[in-house]
Amino acid sequence: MPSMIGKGVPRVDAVAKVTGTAQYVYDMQFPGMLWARVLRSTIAFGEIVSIDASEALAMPGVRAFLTGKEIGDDLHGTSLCDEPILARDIVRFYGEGIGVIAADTEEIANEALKKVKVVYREMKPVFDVEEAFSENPPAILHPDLRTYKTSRPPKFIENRPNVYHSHRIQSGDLEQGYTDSDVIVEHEWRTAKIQHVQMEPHCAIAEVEANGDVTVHASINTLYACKNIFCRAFNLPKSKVRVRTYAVGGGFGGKQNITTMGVTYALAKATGRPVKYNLTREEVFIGACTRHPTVIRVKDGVKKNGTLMARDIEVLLDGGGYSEFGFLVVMNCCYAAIGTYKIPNFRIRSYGIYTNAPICGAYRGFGNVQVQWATECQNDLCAEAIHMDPMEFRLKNVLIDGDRNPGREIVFNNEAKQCMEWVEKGMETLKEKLERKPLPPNKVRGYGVSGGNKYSMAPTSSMAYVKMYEDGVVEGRIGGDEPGQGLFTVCAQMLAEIFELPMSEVRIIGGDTQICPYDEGSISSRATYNNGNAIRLAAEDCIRQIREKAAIKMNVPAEKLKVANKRVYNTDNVLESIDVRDLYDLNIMATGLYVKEGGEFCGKATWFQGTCKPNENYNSDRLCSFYTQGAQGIAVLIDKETGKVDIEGIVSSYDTGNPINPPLVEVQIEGGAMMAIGSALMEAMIMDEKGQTINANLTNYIIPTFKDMPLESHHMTNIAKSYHPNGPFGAKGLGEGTMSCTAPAIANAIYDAIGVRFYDLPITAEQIMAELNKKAAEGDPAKAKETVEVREPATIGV
Amino acid sequence: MVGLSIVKPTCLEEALALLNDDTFVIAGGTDVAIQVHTKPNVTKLVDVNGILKKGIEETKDSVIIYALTTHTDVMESPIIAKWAPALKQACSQVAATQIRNMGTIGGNVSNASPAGDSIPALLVVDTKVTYVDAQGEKTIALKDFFTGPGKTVMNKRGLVTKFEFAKADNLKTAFTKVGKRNAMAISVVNCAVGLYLDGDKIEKANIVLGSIAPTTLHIKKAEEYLFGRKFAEVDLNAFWSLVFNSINPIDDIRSTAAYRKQVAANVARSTLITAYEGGK
Repeated sequence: MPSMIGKGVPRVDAVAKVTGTAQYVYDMQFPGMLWARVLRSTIAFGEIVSIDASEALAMPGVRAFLTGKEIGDDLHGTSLCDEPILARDIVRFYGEGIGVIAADTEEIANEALKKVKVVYREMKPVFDVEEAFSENPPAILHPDLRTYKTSRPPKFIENRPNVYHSHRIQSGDLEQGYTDSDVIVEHEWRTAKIQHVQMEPHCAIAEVEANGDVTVHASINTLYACKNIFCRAFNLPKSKVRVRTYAVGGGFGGKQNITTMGVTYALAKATGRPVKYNLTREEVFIGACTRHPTVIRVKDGVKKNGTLMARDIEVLLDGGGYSEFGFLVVMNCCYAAIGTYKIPNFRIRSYGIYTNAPICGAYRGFGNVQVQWATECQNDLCAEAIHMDPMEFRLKNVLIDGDRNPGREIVFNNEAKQCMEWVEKGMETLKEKLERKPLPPNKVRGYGVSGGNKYSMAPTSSMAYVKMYEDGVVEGRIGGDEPGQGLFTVCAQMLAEIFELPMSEVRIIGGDTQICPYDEGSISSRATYNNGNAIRLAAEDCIRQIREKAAIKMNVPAEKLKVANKRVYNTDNVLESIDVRDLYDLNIMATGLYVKEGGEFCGKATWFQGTCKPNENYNSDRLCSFYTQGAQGIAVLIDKETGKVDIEGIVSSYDTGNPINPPLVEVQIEGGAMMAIGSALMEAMIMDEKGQTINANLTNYIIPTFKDMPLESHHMTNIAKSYHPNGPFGAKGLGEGTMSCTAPAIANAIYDAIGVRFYDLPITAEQIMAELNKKAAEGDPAKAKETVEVREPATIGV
Repeated sequence: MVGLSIVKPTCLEEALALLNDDTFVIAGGTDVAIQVHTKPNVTKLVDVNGILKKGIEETKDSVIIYALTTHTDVMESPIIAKWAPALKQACSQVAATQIRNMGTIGGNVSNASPAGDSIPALLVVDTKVTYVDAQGEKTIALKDFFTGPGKTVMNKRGLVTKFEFAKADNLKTAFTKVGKRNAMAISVVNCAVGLYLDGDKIEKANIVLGSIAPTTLHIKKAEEYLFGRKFAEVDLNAFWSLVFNSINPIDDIRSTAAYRKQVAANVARSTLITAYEGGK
């Protein structure tokens, strides 16, 4: 059989998705189901004095109203338990849920919400992350922070009461590094608050049986993490709770909190009926989670020969009202700075800081994209300071296998250099294509490059079951999530490869904690690597059982047997084989087959990826499962009359190990670039002075469409040759890394085009016009010929 | 939105009788579907499909566009391509295919958004609009139709039935849109230019900008400056300054006043050049 690995087979869910039969929780309804709507705060910070829902409860069709206190949950979090399902006494951001209503229809629930009267005692909020970080902040969001329960001890900072966690990785001697450098490059960088804008908004339906068993159907991207946090919040035994997912319309890290599960469960318990809660698009912006806005300060020291001698980074992460997955972002964003370059003297410090804003949590890249926005722009500035080509500077400092990175990890399976060299060549091709035609008037072109990486978390584990049916079809069960990235397809390919079956004879079952084993979720770009390994090991266990049974039947030693295409072969004599059906016995009714001894052919396995224990500077031989590496070059075309930036061309190369399904890898790379174009040029949640998000809708929060992507002929994507020694069939992961290069490459290209360096994201047309005007005023005609001259004309007709 | 009902009247009189402050007229529904969420007072939608006409007609001297004609219909019409290419360009840059297939010209104009894309393009060909209300049928210049953002002389009590403009062999037009992305974008600034030419002499100019004032605006001083002038004698910087000094846009969620003012003047100048050199 031809190998199934490295083959662009169609997605296993392609037909269902294309024909519209794929099932999404957002569309599901159950008999007798009630609809929930959440009452949201109209202040950013303050005490809830009273909530009066009597008028709402008197409305026909209204079945229940619960306040935050009545939900009955313990504070929850990923490590630090600081978050209630709904606010109880204190509201910490504008739009925070403070009560929830259940009614016969969504419309009645909406009407009833308007009748609830809330009295607040307002307090002075803090929105600015640097003010919140200070030793004397205008507001302290969680005065009881140091008494909260934790499952991993937070590193608080004395005298900085809004810091919920901090982290540091350090190696070498920074001062010596700067002393040994010829040039110091030091800047401050910022990123905006952005949201994932998953196509399917967050939603859940909860059912509570008479015996107390709970089933929650939810649109989430971490099946077991959500279940575990949910169980802990409500003190529910794990065996009593079943969480199910179906087709999930996008995750990108943003579907990991349990708010929808929590409110629907509390209402289902109170009413005895299934309860559904669908977030509106507007609510997704404030009631789900967002990406951390950041302030990042970087100080680099470089030698004239291009050696990066020292890098010191400070990252302030604006976490919003609660830590959520942001607790882990604080620690894990630091890997961004150690993954790609050799830096002998190094430090990164990061701080998670509460502000009175919607919660920040996991967002494709987990903080690493923000850090690399700063460092990859810095790399260009360092190169410029010593008059070196930006890619040459990167190649001079890039890590190769056998090096130790700034976290003192031993580098292996790192193809960053290969990616950069491919992009360097690809950019030559792109330039040649673009420059065939003369530039349109008023337009100016620029080219920029960037490197980028994304670690994948460890220690971590996944489990799998693999079962063969009596007709020879093989089924794998995993706890990993399929929010659209293609996990089930690549796992099915691995089963097809191992059992030598066509794709039609294998399938993957997931999304149900009652029948699928534990996994840590489709997060950290970990799904293919970890679920794939679990599937591989469970498949081997299943095959072992089949061979042992066949050995008896065929009287051939098990180690000489091979399972392929629904048969068992003697490898010494391939003409000697039996059908897998022959391993079963016919039942007495002659209606079915069973395995007489030892039960079904069902393999199970745990894949565990360990690390080496870090020292006090967080140095270790191995901190992560793997690093996805990549490089990207971008061509921009800027209209000097409107400031508009068009992405004319993208050249990408990513190292994802051995790709199981190359077309899925390519579209993931292109999708990541597209999402990053939004973060670079368009997206920012805007809050007014009261803390209300004023563009929480898709009319005024702008994300890119396909029309903002370059022509296909100007979009070149390469998958680096790579093989991870621990990965399933050499594969590693990809999803998040694909966002790491794009924003800095765009900013570097804009600089190349108009000579203006931008430090904050997003870079808007308004800012570009303002900077062009400044340049014109400074009299730099070479860079800004076409800017304005404001004067009255000498003669006016009529 | 509770209790929102859709009424489908069978004749114009019945439809007109239903109109009041708490009703929306719905044709393609592409604006209305969003507005029902933000305007809770609206309880009734009056569906005018089946009452009003759809299609583009050419008479000896004029072109008629009926209210229910979609943006796609306009985009694909050879009559429009010949007599009002700026309108073709404008309609082809509205939102995206699905919305252009549903949204109507009558709706785009009646919605009276200062950012509406078809409006400047209709204005530069000196379009007349015909509408009916309780007093009967009226035909007025489209430039006199708008009274404010979302407001028209119909005052929510009338229905636009058609648009008509004269076929002019000597008219050249062009349209430019500045949005925050390349599709599904509300214009930050839009601009249409129409030039009636006698050889290289400008007999009459229409310079119209959108999204820079409460209604789409003719830039009168710029039009007057061009009047009777040979194109070669137009001082483009002077033209630019006239536009720049004629407008006073505001900051809003989509952009800033300073940006709009400068970019409006820039695109007015570039659209003027395009209309003269490349327009038809």
